[in-house]
Amino acid sequence: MDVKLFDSELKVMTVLWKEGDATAKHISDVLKEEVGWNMNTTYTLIKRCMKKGAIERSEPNFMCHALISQEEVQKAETQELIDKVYDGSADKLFAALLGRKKLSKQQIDELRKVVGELE
Amino acid sequence: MSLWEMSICGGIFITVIVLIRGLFRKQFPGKIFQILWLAAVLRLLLPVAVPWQYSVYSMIQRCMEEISDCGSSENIVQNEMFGNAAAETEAIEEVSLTAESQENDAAVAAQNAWQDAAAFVNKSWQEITRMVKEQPSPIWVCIYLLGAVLFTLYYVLSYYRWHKELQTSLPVENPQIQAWAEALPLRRKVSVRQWEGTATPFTCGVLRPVILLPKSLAEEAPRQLKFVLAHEYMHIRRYDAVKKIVLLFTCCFHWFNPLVWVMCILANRDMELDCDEHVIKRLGRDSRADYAYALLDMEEQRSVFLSWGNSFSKNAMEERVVAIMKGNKKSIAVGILSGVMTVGVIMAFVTSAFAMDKSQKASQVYTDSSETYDVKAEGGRVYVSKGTAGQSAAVNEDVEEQSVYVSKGTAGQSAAVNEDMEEQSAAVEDISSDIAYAIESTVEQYAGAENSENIAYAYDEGDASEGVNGHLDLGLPEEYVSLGVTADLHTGTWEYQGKKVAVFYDKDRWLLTADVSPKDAVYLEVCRDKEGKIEQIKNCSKKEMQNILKKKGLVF
Repeated sequence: MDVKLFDSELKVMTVLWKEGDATAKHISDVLKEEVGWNMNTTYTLIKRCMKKGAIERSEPNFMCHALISQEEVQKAETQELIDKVYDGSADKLFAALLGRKKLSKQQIDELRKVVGELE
Repeated sequence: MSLWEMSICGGIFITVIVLIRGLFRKQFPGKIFQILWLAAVLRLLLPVAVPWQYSVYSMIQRCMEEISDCGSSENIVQNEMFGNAAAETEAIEEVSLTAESQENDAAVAAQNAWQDAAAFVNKSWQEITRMVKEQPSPIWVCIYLLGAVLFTLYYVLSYYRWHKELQTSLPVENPQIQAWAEALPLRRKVSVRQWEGTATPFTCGVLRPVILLPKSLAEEAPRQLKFVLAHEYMHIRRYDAVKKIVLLFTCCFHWFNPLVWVMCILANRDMELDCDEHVIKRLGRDSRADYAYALLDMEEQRSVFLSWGNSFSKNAMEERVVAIMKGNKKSIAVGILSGVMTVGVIMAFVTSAFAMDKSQKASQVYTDSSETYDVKAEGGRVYVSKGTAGQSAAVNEDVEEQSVYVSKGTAGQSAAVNEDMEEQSAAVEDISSDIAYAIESTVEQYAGAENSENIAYAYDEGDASEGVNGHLDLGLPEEYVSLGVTADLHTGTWEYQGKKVAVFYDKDRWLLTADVSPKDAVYLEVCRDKEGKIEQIKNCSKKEMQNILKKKGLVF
């Protein structure tokens, strides 16, 4: 089984691996204490894990169960998240407007040269 | 001010700032541009503007009036020539010019060209003024509202989306960073978190600012970290998040104005530049190169995943890097100079045109009249004679002399009143504002009528008669001249049946008040029939005239 998870999703899984099956409420409480997430954030992440097939949820009380073990999991590339966030993002227009486009390697090297010359 | 006016004035101001920025970006301290952009935003968002005599818009208005006067006076001269009227008018250059031009075709052409140009400028100016003042059609209002709502919605939604995503960030575990954040000398609590979703550090939040670091930076804490944190701290300290939100709001509000978007881009860049300037100041000039390299390193991190740059963003980055490296200490002289310039520019462009300029102009023309009885007086039919040389509008009633003069100067609506001791001083304010109002309303009544129409009317009738004393007074409408009213070219006083005119009142057409000796003063009211033809000039007593004018809201 090939499940790729991001850091934040891993955080949710860690709670399950450490404490065994737990209610969503419990996970939320633990993570609120640990990383300062509010309930909605944790629930969003649980839903994302479920979608990826890492968590199974059962009634009552939204009991969560880890479907994959710590050894099985693969860390998703940061790249994917960034693509996801940037891609569907309405911010693109604004980013373009503000000149937040990324520079190419070559352009950056040119600018490094500029700094070197001015130094 | 309507949105449209705000947008146009704001756009003009932005253009000026862009010019200043282009010329002095490197010389002026970054703070200057922060102030200028703030002024531009205020100009764009605040629907009020303080009128000022030396506002750029006052100047434009004056300029336009000069042009229109010029055009119309020359027209008169032309009319005279071709209307076979008395061409003996003395001291008018244009006439002699025209006379000569009969022999000289080139001069005629040149003058025609000049007239055409003046007429064109005048016409387009009137067109622009009309367009600006005009109520927009409901369709445009709907399109505007739709656009504004869509842009606002767009940014609110994208903010919401990002906010939600940022919630999943994790606290930074590096104890050094935590210690740094806690030691910040700010009232607000700054937290530093790491987030996979970003390749460059950034800050969000105003009241509880959060610095978000890319994972690599937070975990490895390389040498760039010091610069990154210093930079973000500066953003927090300077409330740049608020500035960005306000800028975006301005863009949504003026979404149809491309200059506002230009402002948004440049103001954001200037924010970074100003921030860099302060970081360098804080960390010392020796760290300039390291700081610049750190910025580029960060940029490289970004370029890992989307390596297509454009020259625009390269220029922005280059601007920053060069500013960091070359930015030298600003001397006090430059500081003062830039400050003075900023204040001047803001004063000139953020203020609005001086109100009531027409009546003001009338008085100015009148003042001139002691030397030359200028044709210009023809245009402004409201005639307010200037008594004293006072600058503020002064109403001076003198019972002994039984004469009234209203002078109108720079102060516009604010009027100073001097009244005789016998009068209640409490009434003074009212009187002055009444007169100011009356003048304004009379001007407005005439504003619609074209100057040239008036002139044509006067001269059509005047073709036959050359005035009572065989002399054509250009300042005096022919209508009045034919009834025996004359004007003294040198003093500007009007005379009727050998007596000086203290008040000349032609309902909705002309009001003249003059400071003349009470012994031989007359108070004249023009009576007209329904078609507007003059029936007679009524000679009334001072009391009667006071009553007449009081009814019209004029007091003297």
